[in-house]
Amino acid sequence: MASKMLKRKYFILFIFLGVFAITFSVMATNSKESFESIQATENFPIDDLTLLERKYVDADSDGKKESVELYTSAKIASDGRMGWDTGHHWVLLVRKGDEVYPLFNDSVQYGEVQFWIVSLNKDNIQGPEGVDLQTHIYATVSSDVDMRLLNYSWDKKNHYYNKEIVFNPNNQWITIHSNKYSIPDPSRIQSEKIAN
Amino acid sequence: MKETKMRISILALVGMLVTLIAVPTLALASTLDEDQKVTLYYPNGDWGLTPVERNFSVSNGDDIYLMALQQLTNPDTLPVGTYDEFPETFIVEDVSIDDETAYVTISDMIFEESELSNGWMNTLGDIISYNLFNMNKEISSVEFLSSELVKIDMTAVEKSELLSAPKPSLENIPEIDLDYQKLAEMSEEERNQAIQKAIKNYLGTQRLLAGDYTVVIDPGHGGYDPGAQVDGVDEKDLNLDIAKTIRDYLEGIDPIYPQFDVVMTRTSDEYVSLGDRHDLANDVNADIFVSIHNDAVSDSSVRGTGARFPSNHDVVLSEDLGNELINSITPDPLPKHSDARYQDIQVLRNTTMPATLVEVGFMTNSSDLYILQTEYDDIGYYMGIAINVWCQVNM
Repeated sequence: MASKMLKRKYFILFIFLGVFAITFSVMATNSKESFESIQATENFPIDDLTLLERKYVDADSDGKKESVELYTSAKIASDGRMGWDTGHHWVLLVRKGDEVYPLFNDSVQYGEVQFWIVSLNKDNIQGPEGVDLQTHIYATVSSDVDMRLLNYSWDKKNHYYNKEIVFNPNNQWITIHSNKYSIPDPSRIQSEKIAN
Repeated sequence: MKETKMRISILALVGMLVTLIAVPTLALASTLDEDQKVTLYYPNGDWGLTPVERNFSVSNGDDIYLMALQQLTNPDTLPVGTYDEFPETFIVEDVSIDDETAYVTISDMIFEESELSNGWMNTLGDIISYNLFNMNKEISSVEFLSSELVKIDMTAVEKSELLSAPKPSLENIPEIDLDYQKLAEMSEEERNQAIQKAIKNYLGTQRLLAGDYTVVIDPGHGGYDPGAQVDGVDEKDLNLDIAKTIRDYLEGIDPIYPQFDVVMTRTSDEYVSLGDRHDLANDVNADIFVSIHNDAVSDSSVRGTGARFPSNHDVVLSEDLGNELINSITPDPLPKHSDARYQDIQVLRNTTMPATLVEVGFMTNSSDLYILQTEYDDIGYYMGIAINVWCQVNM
C-alpha cells in the first residue's frame, strides 16, 4: 500500500516535471525567434538594386568606419520620382571591406525600410572615441498592413550582427507610413572621401 | 483795354499749348492697350474648377473671348495648381456670338492628330462653355464648329442644363446601389435593362454623356516578375485571370448599349515595365485605368479587398472608382479589408485619367487564396459590371 502511494507520488511529480520541461523549452524557443545572427557574406548581389542611402559609421566599435547602405529594387521613374510598384525587395547591409552583412534582405509590400544609427556611451566616457561607444542600427520595416522595429548590434565575441525584433505587435491590420524615399536625393548617399 | 487784350492773348496761348500737348496725349492713350480682368475657371484635377483672375491687354479689334479661351486651353499658360486637361492640339481658333449663342471654332488638328473619346471631348466643351457663360451672362448656349464652320461631334451646351447639374464631389457621388450577384443571375437583356434603370435613377437631370468608353485593364506583374508567391501560386497569374474576365464581360455587352473598348497592358505571361503600362493608357486616351493585383503579408489572418488611388490627379473620381470596385466584390465572395486609400504608385501617379489599383485579396490568407483561384470568374464579372455602370454615371 505504502509503495503504491509512493509510486503515485513519483508519477505525479514526474508529470509536473514533464509539463515544466515542455513549457520551458517552448518559451526558450519562442524567445530565440526574437533574436537572430547575421553572418558575413562576400559578393552580395546589388547590381539590380537602387542605392537610396549610405552612411559611414564605426558600426562595430573597432575604430574604423564601415558603410551602412540601403537599397531597393524600385527604379527611378521617368518623372524623376521613385517608380514604386506594389512590392519591392529591400536590402539594408553593413559593408566592411570585402565582407557584407545583409541585415535586412526581403520583400516588402507597399512599404519602406528606414534606419537610424544610435551610439550609446554606457560608460559615460568623457570625449569618447568610436571604440568607446556601443552602436546599434535600428530599422523600421513597414508594409501596408504592419510595421516592425528591428535592432542590429555587433557581437564582438562571435563576429556577427545580432538582430532583435523590438516591436512587432499582433493583430496589425492597416499601416500608413511616411515616405522618406519617394524623391531620390543624392545627398543621402555619403561619399567615402567625405566620410574618411 | 490793353490789359484785357493781353489777358486774352495769354489765355489763347495757354489754350493752344494745352491743346498741343493734351490732344496727342489723349490720342496716344487711346491706342494703348487697356487692361481687362477676366476670371477663368481652370480644371483642378479634382473634377472641379478653380477660378483664377487673369489680366488681358486688350487693343481695338481684340476679341476678349478668343483671348481668354486660348489662354484657358494653352498648356503654356497654366496657373500653378491647375491641371493640363486640354490636349495641345485643342486650339480655339475663333469665337463669335450671335444673339444668345456662342459659336466656338476648334482647330481641325484635334481630329487629325489625336483621337479623344466623345465623353472627354464633351467634358472639354463643358469647361469652355462654363467659362463663356461666366464671361457673358447673355450667352445661353454654346455650339462647336470645325475650321470649315461645320458642326462637329461635340454636343452643344445649354446654360440651364450645365449650371443646374450637381457638381460631382465626394459628398455628391452616392453609392451605386446594385446587387451584383442578382445581376449575374439575370439574362443578359434583363441585366442590361436593370443597369440602365439604375443609371437613370441616379443621374436624374444630369447630362448623359453618350458614347463609347476606352478602359485600360492592367494585370499587375508578369514574366520574370511573379509578384507575390504563396504555396506555388504566382500573383501574376491570378491578376491575369481576373483581368481577362473583366475584359470578356465588357466586350460582350449588347451593341445597343454603350460599348467598351478594353485595352490590356498584357494578355499573357510577359513582363511589361511600369512606364509602358501608364504610357499605354495615356496614349490610347483611356477613360479609366484599372490595375489588378493581389496582396501578401506575414500575418495569415489578414484578408480582404482594398484599393489605391493617386493624389496628384482625378483624386475624387479615382477614390470613388476604387471604392465602387471594392463594393462590387464584397462582402461576397470576399470580405472588405479597407476602403480605397492613397498610395504613391508609379502607374497611378503617371496616368492622366481616373485610375485605381485593386488588391483583390490576400494570397497569404488561405480562404482568400482559395476564392481567388476558384471564383475569379465571378470576381471579374462583378468588377466588369461595376466598371460599366461607373463609367456611364461618371464619365
